[in-house]
Amino acid sequence: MSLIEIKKVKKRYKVRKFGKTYSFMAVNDVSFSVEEGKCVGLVGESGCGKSTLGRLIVGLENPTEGEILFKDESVSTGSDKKVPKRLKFARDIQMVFQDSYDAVNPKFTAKKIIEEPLKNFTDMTAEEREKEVVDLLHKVGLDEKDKDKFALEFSGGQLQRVCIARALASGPKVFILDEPLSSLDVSVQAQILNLLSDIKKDMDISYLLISHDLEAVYYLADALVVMYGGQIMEKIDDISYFDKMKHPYTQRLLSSIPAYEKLDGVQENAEMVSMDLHVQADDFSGCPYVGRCPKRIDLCKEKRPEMKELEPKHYAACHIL
Amino acid sequence: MGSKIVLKKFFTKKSTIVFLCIIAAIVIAGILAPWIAPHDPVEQKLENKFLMPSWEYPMGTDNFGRCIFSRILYATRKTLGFSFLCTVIAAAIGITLGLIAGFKGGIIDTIIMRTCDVLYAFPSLVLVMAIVGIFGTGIFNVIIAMLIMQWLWYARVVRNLTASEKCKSYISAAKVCGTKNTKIIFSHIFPNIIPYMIAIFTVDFGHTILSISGYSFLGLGVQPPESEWGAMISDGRSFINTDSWLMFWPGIMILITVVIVNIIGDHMRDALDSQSV
Repeated sequence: MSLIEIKKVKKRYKVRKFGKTYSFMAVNDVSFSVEEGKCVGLVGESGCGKSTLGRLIVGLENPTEGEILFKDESVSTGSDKKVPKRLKFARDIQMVFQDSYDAVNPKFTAKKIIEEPLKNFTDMTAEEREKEVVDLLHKVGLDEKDKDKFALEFSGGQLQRVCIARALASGPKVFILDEPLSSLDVSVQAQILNLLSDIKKDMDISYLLISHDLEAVYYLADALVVMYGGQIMEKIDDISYFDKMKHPYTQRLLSSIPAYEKLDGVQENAEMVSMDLHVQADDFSGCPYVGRCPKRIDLCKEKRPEMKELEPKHYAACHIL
Repeated sequence: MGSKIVLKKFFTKKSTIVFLCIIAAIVIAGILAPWIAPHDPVEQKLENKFLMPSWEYPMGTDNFGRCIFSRILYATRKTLGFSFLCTVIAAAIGITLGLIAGFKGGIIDTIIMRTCDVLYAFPSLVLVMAIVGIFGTGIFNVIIAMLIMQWLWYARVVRNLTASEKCKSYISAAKVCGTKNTKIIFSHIFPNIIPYMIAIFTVDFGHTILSISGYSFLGLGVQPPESEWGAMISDGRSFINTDSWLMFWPGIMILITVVIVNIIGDHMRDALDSQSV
């Protein structure tokens, strides 16, 4: 059963430049689902709309078009103006943010940070909350005496653990992990990754892991979605298809992992064109990757490729596949 | 941690403690004026006019034979009291509007900030003159006029601080944790901007003392026979060549108070800066 279903979600932002207003699709017609107890990896480079998608799912922002369903109930109202029905789903859908130092109030102690969702969602007394905070600290591998430390007294990895404890506090069903590792150094990344993997096993929480680190995603994810320019390029529902992914953009992402370069023989071509904003403009009808794609054909500029099923559980949007 | 470190840093400077003591002494002297003052500040004894400082009259007497020391003590209550009142109210209005403007954004932000711009472009002396001209002279009319001009300093700073705090992801995190907007403003954003507010408040307090004294010097504020530092300077200016201490004592009080308040404000800011590193 799918826990979260994202149906043809679009998010349009207005960018004002020299007095002219441009429409800009941060997320363009994205559909996929997160199955119960599974982890979906969402990869793509900076600015491809993956964080926006995360914010849409937790209800910090509303999609311009389309629907996001949690257990077959709409999370968003589908209109930009209306306030998201955030509180109703906040207990079930929690988020872990990218930079842990930025994601906690520097004036708060660990106890106060973790207590916040408990205060908002439960009727616990002060003693019950205190006990729960200690429990949560143990769960994320921190000590009881850490509860009175202020946010800035923790190291980056420890603070990310506090953030995970805060997200766990409300007893959620889904975690949106918005690049939880990118602000940490490599050895700490591995620890947090193991912690996340343990939590997933023990507490039966589904993950949406937003990242640009393919190796981390491969370690944790059961399914993978590759985004570029606000659109899904390739999607596999089973991580064992990882080696068979063949969209030109995915190939390029894979070639950025040093170990993969030699295996696949994919060479990074010399031209480095930065992602153009115009491919995300409202009226652009081609494939967003057309500017950088080494295998582009004329059709790519004119028509947006549809999502095709290449084999069971493996989908890609490309004209040449 | 935050504010504790700032306070610790603030109090480690020895000079800060000395200055705080001086300010405290002035404030306490003002509060205890009825008990400390050796004479009635408005009682005129014309036979005693222009006396030099003595044990009986520590700062001498003025042209009506009134004890200058007693008048200075009573004036402290007026000058510091009204300045403090004015600054507190201005800060309260400015901080509230700034928080609303910064957090809500959009049209509310535009309205509040453009109002600030309009008032900012308006010379404050002209506004005070206009209000006093319409409602008559008196310290309360002057305070009202000053409030209109003063809240916008706080509103601008608070608005910008709020807007920049709002973008940090701990606000998003609080929203995801189900915290309501009003609570986010008061328990997340407000505590984070309070240190900046204290620094601005202290410096602004110094400015307000100068302004209140200035308007009283011009005869707009406190009316005779009540004493006020600025008004006392004004009273003494006819005798500048013969008996200049009439101006000297209130002048030196304004100088000491404002300089010390400004230095404390500077130290406060230094302590804050060290925290952000």
